[in-house]
Amino acid sequence: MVDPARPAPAGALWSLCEVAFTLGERAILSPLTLDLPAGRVYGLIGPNGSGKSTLLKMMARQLAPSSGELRFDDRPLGAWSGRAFAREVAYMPQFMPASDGMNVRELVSLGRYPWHGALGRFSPEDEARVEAAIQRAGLAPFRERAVDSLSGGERQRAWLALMLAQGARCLLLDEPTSALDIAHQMEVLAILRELGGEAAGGPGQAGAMTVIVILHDINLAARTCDALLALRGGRLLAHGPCDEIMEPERLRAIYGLDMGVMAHPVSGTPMSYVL
Amino acid sequence: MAELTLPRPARRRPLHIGLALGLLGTLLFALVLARQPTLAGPDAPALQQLLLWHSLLPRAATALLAGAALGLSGALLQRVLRNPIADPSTLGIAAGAQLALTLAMAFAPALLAFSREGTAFAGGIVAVALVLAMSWRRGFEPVTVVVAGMTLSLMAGAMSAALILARGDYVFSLFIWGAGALHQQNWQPALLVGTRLALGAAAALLLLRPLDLMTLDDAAARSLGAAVQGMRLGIIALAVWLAASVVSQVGVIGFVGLAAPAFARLGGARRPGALLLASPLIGALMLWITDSLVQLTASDGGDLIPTGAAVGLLGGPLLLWLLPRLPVSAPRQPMATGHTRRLRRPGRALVLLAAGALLMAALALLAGRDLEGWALATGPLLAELAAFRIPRIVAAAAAGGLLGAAGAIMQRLTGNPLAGPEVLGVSAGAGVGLAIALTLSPAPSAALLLAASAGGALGALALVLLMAAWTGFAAERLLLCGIALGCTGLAILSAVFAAGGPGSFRLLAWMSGSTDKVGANEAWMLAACALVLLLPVAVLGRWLDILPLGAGVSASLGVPVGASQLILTLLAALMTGVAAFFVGPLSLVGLIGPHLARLSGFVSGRAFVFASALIGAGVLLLADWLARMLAFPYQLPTGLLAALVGGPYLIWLLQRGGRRHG
Repeated sequence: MVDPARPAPAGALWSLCEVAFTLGERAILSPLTLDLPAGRVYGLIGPNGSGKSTLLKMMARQLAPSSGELRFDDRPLGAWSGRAFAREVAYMPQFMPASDGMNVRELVSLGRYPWHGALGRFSPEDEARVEAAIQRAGLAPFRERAVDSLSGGERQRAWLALMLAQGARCLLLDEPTSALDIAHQMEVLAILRELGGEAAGGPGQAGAMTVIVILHDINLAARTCDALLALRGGRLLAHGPCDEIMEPERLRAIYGLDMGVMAHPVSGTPMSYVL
Repeated sequence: MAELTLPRPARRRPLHIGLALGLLGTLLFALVLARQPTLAGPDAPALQQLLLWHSLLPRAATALLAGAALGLSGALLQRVLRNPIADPSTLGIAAGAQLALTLAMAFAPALLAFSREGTAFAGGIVAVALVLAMSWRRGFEPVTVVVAGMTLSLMAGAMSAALILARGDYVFSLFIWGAGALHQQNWQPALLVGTRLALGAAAALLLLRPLDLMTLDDAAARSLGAAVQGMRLGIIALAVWLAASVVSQVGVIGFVGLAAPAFARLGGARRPGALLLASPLIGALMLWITDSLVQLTASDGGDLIPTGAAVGLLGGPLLLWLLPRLPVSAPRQPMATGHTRRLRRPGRALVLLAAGALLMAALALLAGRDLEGWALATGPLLAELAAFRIPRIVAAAAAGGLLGAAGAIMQRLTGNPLAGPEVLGVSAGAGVGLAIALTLSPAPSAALLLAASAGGALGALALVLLMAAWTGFAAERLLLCGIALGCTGLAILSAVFAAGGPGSFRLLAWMSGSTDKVGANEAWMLAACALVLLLPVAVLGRWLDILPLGAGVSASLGVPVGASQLILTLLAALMTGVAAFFVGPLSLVGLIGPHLARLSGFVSGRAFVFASALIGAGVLLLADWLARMLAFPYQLPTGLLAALVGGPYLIWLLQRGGRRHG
């Protein structure tokens, strides 16, 4: 979905400086400093209540940080106008709202709002982008079906298609696989994997999208992502390539469980198991 | 919603607050006693004694006992329905009891002589049965229950108003009573309410254990061996009886039943036992304090406003203040229907609808009744009648269109198919604006009244939105804010009625939605307003598509959430204010239009709003025509007729909506 001519930025796409979020007395997220280069798939992992969703929401401008600053493409988030930011960053909330009778094509068309605005014409290019997004998410047969009549997995893919139609450089997804069975999980994650580099010839290449995704299943995260960010109790415990995170010591620190790691019998990627 | 739950507030000291309230009440009552004029003459001490024993003390006792009964009734209802905003007034019990009494007074006075309390109880039971039937399929979901109750209250209010209009002064005194005046001549009401309270308290004590179980959900309670439905019905009947006995003795006193348990909970009462003990105490103190204040502000001519209206005035803002603190415990249900019909060619359907509305207008213009029977007006007769009929037709169509469009916009804005100008208190706000204009100006012009109505609507909607913004734009809270505001507005209106004066009858006529005074100028003014207000919708369709998906999704698509909500709100408020000026606050067209448009399958925002407007226009044209024809040569109030047609439809719709959720 990304214009291949656009070069990957030299510096980090995201930079967070001492970003924190507190609710009353309680620190949901302790001050966090982090740089994320473009063109990779990042997995946010950690137990429930570790601040993953809060972090993602702050990146999506759904929540304002209590202190610290987030910068996207070297500009503070507050300096972006609503539509300009939506052309760069697409966000999928954990719970998708009901879409009241809309069919798939209409829902996906809403993703073009950042480009045409309230009054602009719905151009042939918009049309083409919507169609491409529907194809990409494998929803062509459901184009005219009401979104509410789809199964959970198909609905999740319809929202993914909306994000694709948005034409953003960066996707933020909060548990996109939560409602899916294993086959559909793999399908969605494969799409993310492709967007995040494989189609463009590898992670970090020009044309690869930046994907930041919250996943509960650590093994699926390790399979899909280039790097993992592990949170616990509002602190960033570890950050690095998957095989650095997938170590028994680290995993115990993250989940508070004794865990072992072995290589996947076929692909060789690390897999964890509870001892 | 989970991330929005704030840390629990530090525990207050409920005992201290209670003591402080008790002291305040005693102090105020002492002031009331001290303020009594010292009478001169030889009989003065005896008269003073008489006044004390037969007016002041019984009044205080009635206030305390009625407050306690309402508090207990509210606590029971909230517990059993698991609904933090249920009480006799939001469930329509009070309005139903009042309507029953009004009907009895107008048509069957013997019934009242036989048993006032029984009549009120019957009205209350019918009301609550209707409300529960409406929300049964949605599992008594709190917001649905209250919206149904409010709709019913509004309808009952419109019917009472129409009855008073029809019977003139005879029933007018009933309205003053209806606003909850506590004047007493003897101890009888206090005794009656007191015995009911004692019986109710004893029954509640026996039901304490089952009530504990009811805190869980039905399945869990049943698995613990409780006969859930039977118990629930029994407790509801008990609560209705308590409320009806109060209504039959002192009239409608809202909010005590709502606020007392809420305060008890804020004060830290959690278990049913503590709640059931604290709520009546707090309710008693609340009503006593309010009544003392009313007496203290009374002039020589009598109380400034009835106590019930005063409680509403104090209670409405209180409720608004409480709302952000009350957890909306029920999970947000997907309001969307499972499988909706949708139109292939909405454009063509719109043209069809427009043709239908035109046909309706032509029928209203041509067909009518004269002394000999039904007749089609043609030729010279038509030319003669047109001068009378055209303004009404134009005005009805414009008002219906505006209300339909306003309802459609509000539904999209809140993402809730139960939102509407009537439910959100915007119409009541328009009424308050009118009341202010009628009170301040002896002979207001039509333009001034129109402006006042629109201003009131705008003020009400601005308040609702301000509250909603403060609480984070959750759709439920927006609805609840609107309902609270509507209650306050109606309380203000009844206070104005009770004050009497020439404005009162005009306001009553407006409440019941009479349209027969509309002149050509007003009609064309309304039509021009309709045109100006409906045109912007054509370019705002995209916002109407995206905003129902919630603030999160809207913002992430780059829609300026605040600004777009503000603009659409402004539009909807102006539409409602202008239209309500014509048809009164209770027509329900703003709910019916959008619902029919949804059912017919209009999905995209723009087509949905225009379809709602066309359907609204058609419905109001029909109602206006029927109002002229049904009781010929008399005319019925158009707004009332629309409400009487719309209310049952709404009941049916709520039922049906639930079934699709399974």
